[in-house]
Amino acid sequence: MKTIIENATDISKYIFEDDVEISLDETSITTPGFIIADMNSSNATVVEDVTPPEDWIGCKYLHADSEWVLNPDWIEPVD
Amino acid sequence: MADKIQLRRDTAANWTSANTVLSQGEQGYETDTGKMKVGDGTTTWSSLSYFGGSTLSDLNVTATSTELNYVDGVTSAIQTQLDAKAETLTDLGITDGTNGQVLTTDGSGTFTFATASGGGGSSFEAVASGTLANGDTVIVNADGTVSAVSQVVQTAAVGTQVQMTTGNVNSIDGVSIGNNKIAICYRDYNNSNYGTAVIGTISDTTISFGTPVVFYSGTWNTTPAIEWHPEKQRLVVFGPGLYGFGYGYVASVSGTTLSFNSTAYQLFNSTVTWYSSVYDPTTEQIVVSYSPGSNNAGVRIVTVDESDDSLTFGTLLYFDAADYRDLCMTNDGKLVIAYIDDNDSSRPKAIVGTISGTTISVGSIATINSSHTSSSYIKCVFDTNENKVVIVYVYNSDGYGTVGTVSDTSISFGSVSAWDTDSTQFLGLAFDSNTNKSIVTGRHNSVQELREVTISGTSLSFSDPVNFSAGGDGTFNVAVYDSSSQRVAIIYSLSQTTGYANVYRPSGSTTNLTAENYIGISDGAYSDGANATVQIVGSVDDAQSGLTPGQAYYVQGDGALSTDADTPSVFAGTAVAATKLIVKG
Repeated sequence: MKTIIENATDISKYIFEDDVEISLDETSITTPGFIIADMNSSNATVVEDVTPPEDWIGCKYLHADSEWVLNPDWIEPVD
Repeated sequence: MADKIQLRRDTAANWTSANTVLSQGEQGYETDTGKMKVGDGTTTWSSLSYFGGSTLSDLNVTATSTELNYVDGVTSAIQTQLDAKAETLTDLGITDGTNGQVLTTDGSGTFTFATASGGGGSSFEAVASGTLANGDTVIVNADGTVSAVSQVVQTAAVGTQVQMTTGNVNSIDGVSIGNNKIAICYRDYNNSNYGTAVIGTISDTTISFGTPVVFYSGTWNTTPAIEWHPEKQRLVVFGPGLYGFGYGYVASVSGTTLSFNSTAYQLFNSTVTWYSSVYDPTTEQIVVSYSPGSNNAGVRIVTVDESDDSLTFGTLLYFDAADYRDLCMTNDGKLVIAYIDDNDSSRPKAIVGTISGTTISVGSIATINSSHTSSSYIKCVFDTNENKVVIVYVYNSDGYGTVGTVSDTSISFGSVSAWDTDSTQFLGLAFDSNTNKSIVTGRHNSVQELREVTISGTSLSFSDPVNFSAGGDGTFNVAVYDSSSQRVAIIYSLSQTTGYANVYRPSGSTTNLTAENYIGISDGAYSDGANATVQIVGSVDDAQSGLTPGQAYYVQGDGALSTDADTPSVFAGTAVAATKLIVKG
């Protein structure tokens, strides 16, 4: 799988299957289903060949040096 | 020095008196008449003809000497001639008409007597948009063309349910942005609860969606608010940002493409929940309200700068503790906040706010029904036609509603009536300015229903429910009226699995007549695109029938004339005969 990491925090924001095409440009990131307006080629990086934790959800984990670490600021969202 | 040659000369009388015989070729000149004769050596002066001919025919002149003398005699003779030659128009070849007819022209030199189509007075010419019959009441359109006043009867219809998202959505809000489009923001459950927005395009009773845009890749865990600034042409979304603090996000819209400013503007430096907002057309500012804590709620002005897509915020005014809350603006620019008071046993209340610059002040709190403790899901809209506020809410799992009347900084309420008595929740409310009805949406047991709401005095009446989604437990049921398409879009989450939308066309009749656009009465029958003459103020139209002289007549929504005013009230004129009306207005 591949993940989009926020460079400043190492927070894993998105997870995609390997074959999903992701396009980063100066203003946004385009995915097949939606556009990410608050991330771009300057503040985000796509890391491929990752295996996220089973309970992965956006912002819950940091990904750095091929390691997954629970985000210390993580708060479970309420319904 | 040149030699001077002078002819033999004398006055005419002297020439006649002397009766001289001029030599052959000798010239004699009358100094007082300017005439001249040439001698032949035998004929006396009196018998000689003047040089150049003795008759008019000698000079190729066809007019008689009398006629020439008239010209020579100037005014009196010419007038006599004209009187003799063209005393009437028939002398000019124009066939006479009948008594009362007027002379008309085809613009190409042909004159004809015809019966006058009107009683005279001022008229206005413009291109007809649609056909006009003689005597039709006429409006001027925004593009300068003219049309007959007409009415279209609209039957109610709910369009087919349209899937908005592939996964579950939550915390939805929507707003009309014009051009048959609405903007929707939501919490995308299937995408890590991120804040997402999308543009929907309404076509009759269906809707299609553009590509969703995630504008905040972080957890959204509360009800957001979205507002359109029509003057600045910017969309503003209010919702959580970093650490759950309150933020505002600005976007421009092109077609169905959303372009968000990369900078989010912090609204409050702590966790904020339950956003609501409204646009104030008077000050061209947005008003946002939110709960910065469990024991209070605040409201403040938001100013949009489209040059850099930035937001600035006015002073936050705390008014009470309220999570369920809604805002609307009156015709007079007053802000109405309807809310459930969390510090007073969740009773439904409202207050009136006054906006001055970027500051808001509020009047005294008014309780809608003090018996309705533990109320929830309150919504309000302003009925611009009735100049009153429509408020709906849920009490004891039943739907209730009332009419609010705003006077300066206070609000009073009419009777409170129940409109749904079976497990009502997740209300939406929109005002349709086309049919002058409000549309309330909500979950009734496990189906989603809507009702048309009309104001009668200070009471509300509700239509029978219309089911727009038979299955599942719908949540949010956001209702958005889009004036450009004249439709109500309903956005909701069904069974917490998928986001859906429906488009509702309210029942009613719509007219092209406004309080301002009536200009007069058609002076003839005209086809679409023809140049039409409209009898305007001061003229007398004579193409009516059945009028009572001396009565004032009003234009009806369907174009007819009546002695009773319709809505809007448009004065057509005063009848002076059964067939004639002095155009006023």
